[in-house]
Amino acid sequence: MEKLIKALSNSAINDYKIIEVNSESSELFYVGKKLETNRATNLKQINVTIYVDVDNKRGSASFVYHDYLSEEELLKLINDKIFAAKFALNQYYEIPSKKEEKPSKNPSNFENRNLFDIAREVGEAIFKADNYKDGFLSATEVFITRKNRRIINSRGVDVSEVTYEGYIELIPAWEKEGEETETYNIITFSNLDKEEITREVDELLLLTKARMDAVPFKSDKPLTVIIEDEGVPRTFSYFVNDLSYASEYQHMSRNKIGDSVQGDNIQGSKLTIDLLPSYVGASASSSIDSDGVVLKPINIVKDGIAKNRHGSYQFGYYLKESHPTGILPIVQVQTGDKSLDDYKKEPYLRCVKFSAFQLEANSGYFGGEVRLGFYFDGEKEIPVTGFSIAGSLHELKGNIVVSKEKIVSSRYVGPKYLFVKGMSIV
Amino acid sequence: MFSKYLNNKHDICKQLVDRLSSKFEYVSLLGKQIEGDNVRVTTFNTSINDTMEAQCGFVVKVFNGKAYSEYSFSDIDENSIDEIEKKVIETVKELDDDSLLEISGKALEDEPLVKDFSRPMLSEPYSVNEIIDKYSSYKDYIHQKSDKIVQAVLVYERYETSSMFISRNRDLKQNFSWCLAVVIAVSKRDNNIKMARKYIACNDPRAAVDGLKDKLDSAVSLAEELLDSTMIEPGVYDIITNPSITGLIAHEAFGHGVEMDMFLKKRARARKYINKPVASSLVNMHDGAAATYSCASYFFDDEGTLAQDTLIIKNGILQTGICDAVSGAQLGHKSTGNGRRESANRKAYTRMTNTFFESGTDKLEDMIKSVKHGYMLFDTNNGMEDPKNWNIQCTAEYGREIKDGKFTGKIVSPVVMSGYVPDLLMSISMISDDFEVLGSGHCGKGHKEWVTVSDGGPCLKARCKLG
Repeated sequence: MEKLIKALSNSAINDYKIIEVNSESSELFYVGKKLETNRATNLKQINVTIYVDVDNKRGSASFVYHDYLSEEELLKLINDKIFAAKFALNQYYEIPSKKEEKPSKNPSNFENRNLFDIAREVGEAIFKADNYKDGFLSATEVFITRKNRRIINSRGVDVSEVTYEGYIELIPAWEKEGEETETYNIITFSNLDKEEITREVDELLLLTKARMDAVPFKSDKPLTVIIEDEGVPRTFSYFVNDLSYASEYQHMSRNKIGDSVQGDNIQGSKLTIDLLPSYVGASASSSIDSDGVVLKPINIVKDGIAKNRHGSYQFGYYLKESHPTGILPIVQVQTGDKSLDDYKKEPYLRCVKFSAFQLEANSGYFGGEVRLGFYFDGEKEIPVTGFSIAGSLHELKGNIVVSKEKIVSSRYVGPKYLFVKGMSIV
Repeated sequence: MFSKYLNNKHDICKQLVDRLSSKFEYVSLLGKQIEGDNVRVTTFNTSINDTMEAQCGFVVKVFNGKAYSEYSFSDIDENSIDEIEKKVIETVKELDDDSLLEISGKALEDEPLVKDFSRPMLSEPYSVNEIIDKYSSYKDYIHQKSDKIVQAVLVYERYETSSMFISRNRDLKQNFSWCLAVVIAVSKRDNNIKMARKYIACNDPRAAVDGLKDKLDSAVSLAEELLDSTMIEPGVYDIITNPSITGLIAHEAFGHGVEMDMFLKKRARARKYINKPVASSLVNMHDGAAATYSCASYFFDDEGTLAQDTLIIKNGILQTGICDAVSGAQLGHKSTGNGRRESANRKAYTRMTNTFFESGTDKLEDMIKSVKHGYMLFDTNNGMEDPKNWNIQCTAEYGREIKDGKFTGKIVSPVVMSGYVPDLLMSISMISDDFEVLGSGHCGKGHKEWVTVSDGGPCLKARCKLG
């Protein structure tokens, strides 16, 4: 690192940024209950960005730095990048300067623990739930990762943080009368809770059983659609992305600050959305962004009204923000006062597992193929499959009701269910 | 040219393999480096970065008599070789933990072979400033062409892959390159925003950058046209797929289901359909790094197996799956050269490479004429596999309505295809006599493990649920 900083300091550049990531992981790969492969990683990566100013404009170029480069090779590489950056001139922007704020510590009980021990315990917790006669885990992968990230720039920023991530890819399967089915699941965490993992795996096995029992679904009448799982955070990204600095700068934003982001006629919940650096259990938690901005929570939507924009230091600078927020990793949506039980008065269609929930922000399209849903016929829930839901958020953004029930995933904290009227079901 | 860095590391890597080979039944080492440029010129910004594919690292794989262990690391030299050897041994020892129940695996095949492979670029790449000059003029042209375009995005991606595979009996090196030039036109009317994407993927960086100029008009006109697109009326329709959607079906709907690590995990319904009909008798489907020439055309895979051309479906009958070495050792099946890693930092899985349907004998215009009411579907938006249940979710960027054998001028976007994979493949009734493989794709396994892939083929006529 010393060699790199010295070379950058002696080069004809106006600024630089270095991101150094040292990571280690322990990984277990199971076929059925048996371990096929174990892996360990010990990795280091250094990314460098140089900034060159020409005629009140700023050019930049980035590259990956390797320790093996000789001083001569490094100098040539930097000079090549300086040459290139002079052709990539953009409106001038500053990079963050040294501040007194210290990044907060990302909460995790992984700290100081051997990663293989954690991975092994996660494996035990997973297979504790694998004891059904017709249901089993056909494939399981466990990743436990610790990353140490340091960001240095030429304006005195020198911040670092340690982040932790637990990641499980889990494929429960179910067999019945010679037929088989499965569900695809990801569990993320940054705090080890073995009982919670066992409970979650058990729930996923039973959802897979439900998929086995599911019958094709068709509806010729309008129904309240209840969106779960990946569809929930994906839907909220429609509002979050629209309020980014970049979206405004590129004339893509549909809303100004003070606008009702849900339109003029809000029949559903008035949304309140915050962006957070960290949340206990959310594995994307990070106290600094890639420019070295020390992150703080910010409210972007309050009761359906756009309150603040957010995003990278560069685009914040372009919009003349005095304190650009930096890129915050966690979206928090305020929960509502309706529970799933409150909806058990009339038929609904609960969409639990999607093949891949789609949100196309430009067209407003949201929906996808539902691999497992539950149709509530007024009395009981029946597992259903073989259908898709679709709608336009441009039109339905005011109809969404958020649930009282809450979930935490890697980048999202908020309502577990979205209740939406007006989606098509095919 | 083969990576100078990897070349310098070859002997120390060989030394590590030799040391570990005295302790373990099977040992291999993969060193991989991808270098190149990414240049992006937009209406609002210009940026220069290393290629998005950039990576450099090493991974050692060891078989302990039962299961497999791997250790990934960033660098190796005389000072660190002892520590790396120790770490590999520690990783293997983790398997001694009583709480772990291991598979009964087999050592991987290790046929002797020493060979260097190389496929250089077909032209000397333009310098970054030449690309920015050309792309800036393209951007200006797009805005002059239409005031409905609010953003033009031009992307250039060139990458050169070097990898070396060393085991007790094999010592392989390869070097190859690929290039992608992309134009995206973003149109806006009131709050309605649409985008159109066109690209050139090839191993000729100058041809890609220069050729992109001819794609600008079509990107602009499509972006404008999409502003008038509507959502499709959901239903079951006759469809005609363009090569991009044909490739999406080959890859996403069917290809994932014949990855044989999925057979091993009992995750693929296809394992019960070997030698059985899965598609119309018109259908022949291939995968392989050696099956055609595109972005996934390597010489050997990340487990040291040479590239192959696998005929997966012949006349509608499923012949075989594709396979990596570890799954193959457990299934008693030879690797088909499909063991791929996202990088040396990640595990190898069975992965597709270049996946496509063979062309047929029909003329596209006859296929269109044969449709009473349906849609021709264009350009992949995304797709998701479901190997066990064979459900389809594939999304096309847009569709053009056909009534009584003619395009009506109506355009719908996006279009989600759904249904049961064999129903779709069995419904294929016409296959065009042309052929195109599109080498711009990335594919994940589940939601991770991204590798470059190509797919495509001719135009297909089939029947499918659209929404």
